Amino acid sequence: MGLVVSGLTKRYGDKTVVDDLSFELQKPGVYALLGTNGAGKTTTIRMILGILARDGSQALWNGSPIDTATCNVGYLAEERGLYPKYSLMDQLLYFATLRGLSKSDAKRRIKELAQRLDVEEYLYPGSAPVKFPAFEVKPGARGRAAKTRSQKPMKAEQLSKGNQQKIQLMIALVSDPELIILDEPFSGLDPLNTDLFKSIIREEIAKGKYIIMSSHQMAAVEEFCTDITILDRSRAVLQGNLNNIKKSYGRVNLTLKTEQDITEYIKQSEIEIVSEKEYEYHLKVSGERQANDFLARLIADKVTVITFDLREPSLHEIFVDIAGGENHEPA
Amino acid sequence: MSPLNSKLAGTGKVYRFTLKQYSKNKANMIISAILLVAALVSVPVMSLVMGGSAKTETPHMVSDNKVSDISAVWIRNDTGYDLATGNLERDDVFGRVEFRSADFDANTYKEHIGPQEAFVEICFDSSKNSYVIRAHASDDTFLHGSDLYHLTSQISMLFEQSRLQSLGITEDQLSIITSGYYSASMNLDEYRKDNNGINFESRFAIQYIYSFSFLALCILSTSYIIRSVIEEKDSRLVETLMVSVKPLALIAGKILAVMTYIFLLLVSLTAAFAFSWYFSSMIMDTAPVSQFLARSGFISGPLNISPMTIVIVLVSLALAYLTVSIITGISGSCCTSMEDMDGAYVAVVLIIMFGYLVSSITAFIEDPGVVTFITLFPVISIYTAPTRYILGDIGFGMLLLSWVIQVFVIAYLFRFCSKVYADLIIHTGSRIRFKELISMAGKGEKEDI
Repeated sequence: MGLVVSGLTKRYGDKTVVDDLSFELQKPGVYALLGTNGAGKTTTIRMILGILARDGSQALWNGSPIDTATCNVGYLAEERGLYPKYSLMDQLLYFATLRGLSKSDAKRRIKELAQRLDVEEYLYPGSAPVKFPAFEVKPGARGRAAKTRSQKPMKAEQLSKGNQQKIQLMIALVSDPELIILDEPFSGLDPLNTDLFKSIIREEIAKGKYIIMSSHQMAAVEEFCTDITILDRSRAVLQGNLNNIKKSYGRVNLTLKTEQDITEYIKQSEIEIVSEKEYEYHLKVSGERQANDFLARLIADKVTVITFDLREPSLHEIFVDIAGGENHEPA
Repeated sequence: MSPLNSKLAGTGKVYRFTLKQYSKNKANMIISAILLVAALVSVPVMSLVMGGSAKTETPHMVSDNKVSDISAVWIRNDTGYDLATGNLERDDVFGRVEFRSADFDANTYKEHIGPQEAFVEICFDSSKNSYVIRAHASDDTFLHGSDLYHLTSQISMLFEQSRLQSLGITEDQLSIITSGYYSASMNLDEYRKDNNGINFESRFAIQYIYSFSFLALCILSTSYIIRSVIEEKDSRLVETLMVSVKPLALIAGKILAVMTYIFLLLVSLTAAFAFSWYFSSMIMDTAPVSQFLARSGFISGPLNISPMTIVIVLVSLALAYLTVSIITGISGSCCTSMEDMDGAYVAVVLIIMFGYLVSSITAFIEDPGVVTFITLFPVISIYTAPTRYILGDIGFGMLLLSWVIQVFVIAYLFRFCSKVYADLIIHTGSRIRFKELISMAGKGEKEDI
């Protein structure tokens, strides 16, 4: 069961935007949709959700076409926003009731998420503790007026971009969805909020949710995803389990730190230097054997090796390798 | 769940949310308050501007068939023509009025007449080379301006008859002359009258007022509907919403909410106007306003406005309003941001103005072919069908046929509107042009809206 996408294809006139894309999420976890700008990731997501017509292809959830009625979906769109002039609480209640929650359930769920995402002060003005007591408005003629103003329901336009993004994540999660689709969830977030979002995603994974994530932040994706599809110019060019993909590349990234200059040794061994800084070398080797032979030679010549770290390529390197051909626009 | 029900699921929630937000919007509150204040002060201001005066006793309107409030009329007649005031004493309006001969003049009448009495002076003004009839009331009078106006017109009629009789004309001859004169007037009026006896001015006024009122309603609604349709696109909320509600439900809920908001605003304004009328008539003379409305065709005997007529007008207005709202929805759906709003607004106003102008220009045309065409042709018919029925130009069957055509047009437009909205919901380019819209209309409905 789970999510099955088969033969997803989208054409606008002569231009094919998504070409015969198929993949499955048979168990809970994170599935990453990766690709350069314009590769077709967002179109794929829109077709899965039925926002764009599927043109005969299929996106099934537990055997039924994905629909508002068949699947409880939480979607954090790449093109995201809020009604700027409406109260935040009104908006959250609206989205929650649209997803089928009763008003009382919606309020309870909003309260939980507000606590988790640390946005209570914006949703419950006047009730949340003041973060900076030094700036608390003191009673007085003007102070009372200011306090009254501060207790009015807040609107989206009054929030920073990061806090708006938290509200948008709340909207995506308010119905406790079984399938969560996150399109560029970390874009525009500061490191603290990025970590907060990551921790929430980890919680959703632990709850057994199915998550599709599209992002350009490879390191962040690599933290969560088990399976990936890399799209390149509307076609899937690499698909499968991330660990298996990495294994297929072998351990080719060697990091060496020594107490003296070993540049001559590297050149003699015909190893590629990726970068070098203060006797710390990032090297590209052909495999484990070449790395071990190189280490043996250094030890034999009494070179002090502080660090020897041999790894598989990162997702970032795999992506660049796959999608970074000559005809690509910079991402 | 049927496919249509599935597509409409969530309409009620969208409707309630949109209506709530419109009601809470500060700008809308301010506009509504200004309009309500304007409606409340409209009658007193109109009365004052049109010559009404403050009143100190029992208020009421004076109409042609109302018994006059005047208890006695003092007449000073310096012309030598005797007035047959006895004719007025047999009249329904002046039956209880006592007509007396005055031996005082315009300079001293205030010393002789009471608050419920009038003084009428009839004399020859040599500077104007004309007879003059003037009616006066005391400073503390209870009488309305319209009482004196009515009295003056009746005295004028008697004076005219007296002048004719002074030439030696008998009662019979006078009757013939009067009826002949009257017939001559009828002949002139016949050219302008329709079968129900509604004259040209009233005919034009009825069409003009209905069309103008509807035009105002539409123009008031248009910007609200377009703004409402665009706001999700402009706020980049469309995709988030689409996983919870179908485009059809979204646009239906939004259009209906705006329609309801404007309808409630109009009901409030009407209630405020009615209250203003009622309250004003208690403290001042509102007869000039009612006379103005009567002259404008709002109060017209031959129309015989019955509850049925009111129902017909309301049904026609509802269909017309729905038609225009959906056209506005289509125009709004072609936009991608608030910057496109002006173009969409102009497009809708042009369509509304087209119907308005055609209905106004053809108001006096009675040719059956033209009447049938303008009664049935979409967009024009929303202005003309109810008024032509009220004026008696078409029967109920024709009105019904017009409604049926309007219902089909509404169904088609709504289907098309939902298709345009769904197809363009994530469109991010420039506003769709009319040519592209027509091309979309020619294609089949999108599989999944």
